[in-house]
Amino acid sequence: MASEQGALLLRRQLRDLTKNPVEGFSAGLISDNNIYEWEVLVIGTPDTIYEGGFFKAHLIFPSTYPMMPPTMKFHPPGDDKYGYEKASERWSPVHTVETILISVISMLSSPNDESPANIEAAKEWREDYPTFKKKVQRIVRRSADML
Amino acid sequence: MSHTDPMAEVDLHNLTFTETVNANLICCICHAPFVEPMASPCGHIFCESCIYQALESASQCPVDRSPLALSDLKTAVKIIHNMVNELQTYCPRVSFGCNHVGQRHMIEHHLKNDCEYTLLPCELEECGELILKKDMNSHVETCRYRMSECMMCRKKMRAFELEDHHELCPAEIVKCPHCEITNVRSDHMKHLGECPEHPIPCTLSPFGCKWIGARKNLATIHQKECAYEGIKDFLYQQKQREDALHEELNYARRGYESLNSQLEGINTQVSHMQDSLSAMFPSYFQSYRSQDMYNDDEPITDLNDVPLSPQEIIMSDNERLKNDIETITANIASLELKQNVALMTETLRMQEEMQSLRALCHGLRMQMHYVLMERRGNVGGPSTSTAGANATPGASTSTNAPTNPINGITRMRNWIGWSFILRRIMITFRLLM
Repeated sequence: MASEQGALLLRRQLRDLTKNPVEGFSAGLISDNNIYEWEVLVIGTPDTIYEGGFFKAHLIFPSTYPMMPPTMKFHPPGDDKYGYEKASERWSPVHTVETILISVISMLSSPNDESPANIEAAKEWREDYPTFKKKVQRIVRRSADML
Repeated sequence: MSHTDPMAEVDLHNLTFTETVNANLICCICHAPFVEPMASPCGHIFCESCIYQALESASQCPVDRSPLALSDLKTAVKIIHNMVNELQTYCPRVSFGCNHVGQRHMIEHHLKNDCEYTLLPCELEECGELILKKDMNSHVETCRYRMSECMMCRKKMRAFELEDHHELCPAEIVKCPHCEITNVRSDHMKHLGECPEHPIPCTLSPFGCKWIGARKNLATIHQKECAYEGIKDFLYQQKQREDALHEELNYARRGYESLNSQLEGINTQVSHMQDSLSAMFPSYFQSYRSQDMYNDDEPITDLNDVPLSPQEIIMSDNERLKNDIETITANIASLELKQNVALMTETLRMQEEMQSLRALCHGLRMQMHYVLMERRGNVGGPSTSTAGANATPGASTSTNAPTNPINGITRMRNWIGWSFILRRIMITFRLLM
């Protein structure tokens, strides 16, 4: 029943998100027959260094969702390694795809550099912001080209 | 899923409501209207099953993260129960065609009793097919597992068996395809055996006649013109002979087979024999066998040319070692003999020497005696003479020396000579020992 509950909840969220899309991202399934694997496209927020970028990410939900959080993997354009995020201690069962992505979008503009997923990127962000910005802009350009 | 299992309870989390539900009545975990709402001390309300599961992973309120234990939960106030229970919902079987709309808490009752679109298994155990309730009556009439009766033989069987049965029913009336006579199926086969219109082959068809025709025409028409009819007797004779030959052949084959198996038995015996013999005469039999493999007919001509097998090497080594041991044993025996002889001669020699020494000793004793006697005669004094005879020579000389100086010197010289001889005897004895 538990796994069915997760699937039910995810189906309901997918239906709601398709019916009433939320600004800032779009969401869908990687493959139509697996409700637990989502593909989302985060749209770079205007007036930030991410403006104009489209960031593809996979959200993989466990069968224990919503009691356990999904893992989120960014697929950055180019040959960078996958970004990876899993925040189990900060998880609460009330989170949905929508709340997760809104958190991600807000985190992009004001990152929490104390517990980074990508330590190198966090170091650069802290110590050499111009280079970080340049890198982000390169990725933003490339992501726009790929669409 | 509740769609496939009609006996499962209705999943109240998975209902479709007629109107948009007030967001305040939605559980923030399952995002459906509360089912058995429970309230936390911090004022949040969840479905009972949702909050129980959430508290298994973390003992905190999912909304505001304040500490929360199962015992802190209380059933939400009655009005909330009523509000969610009275929500108008579609029947879960709406996709199957049920148009029922009702309050949520009545939906279970509807599904169990009223809904015509729930699935029920067919009453017949063998069938077990899930049928919509509304279709059940028509299904029972057409179910292929229902009991029905053959119209002709009155036998009872399942409907799907009846279809096959119709083709075989022994009571069915069958019309002969050749002579228009009708018969019960069980008698039909018998009739075919005598029906004059039934086509049969010529009696001589085994010999090659290709004619096939109605039975009544065989004797009247065909036999008169059949080409085989004339040589019929010859053909039958031939057939008899052939059969006899076949039998003979079979008999011979059986004999051949039994002989073959006997031969095989003998062969295995021979090889057993060879094995056991080769243990005794390794070189001969092994060479024989190795040649045997390559050429059966060629007899063994030269045993020395055959390369040695490991067993043979071991055997020859063994033989060599045995010979060595024998030689050594013989050598030891001869050495022992030699030793014994040498010992014997040596012992004899020693004995002789001892004898001579003993004689010498005796002589000396006699001389000593004589000397003592002489002295006793010259000096006199029985007490001293006995003392000299009994005491050691050294002691006697030392006591008597001052009494007669000249005599003492000669005696002294004698004594020194004796003691020297005695010491030599002692040394000889010690050596002998």
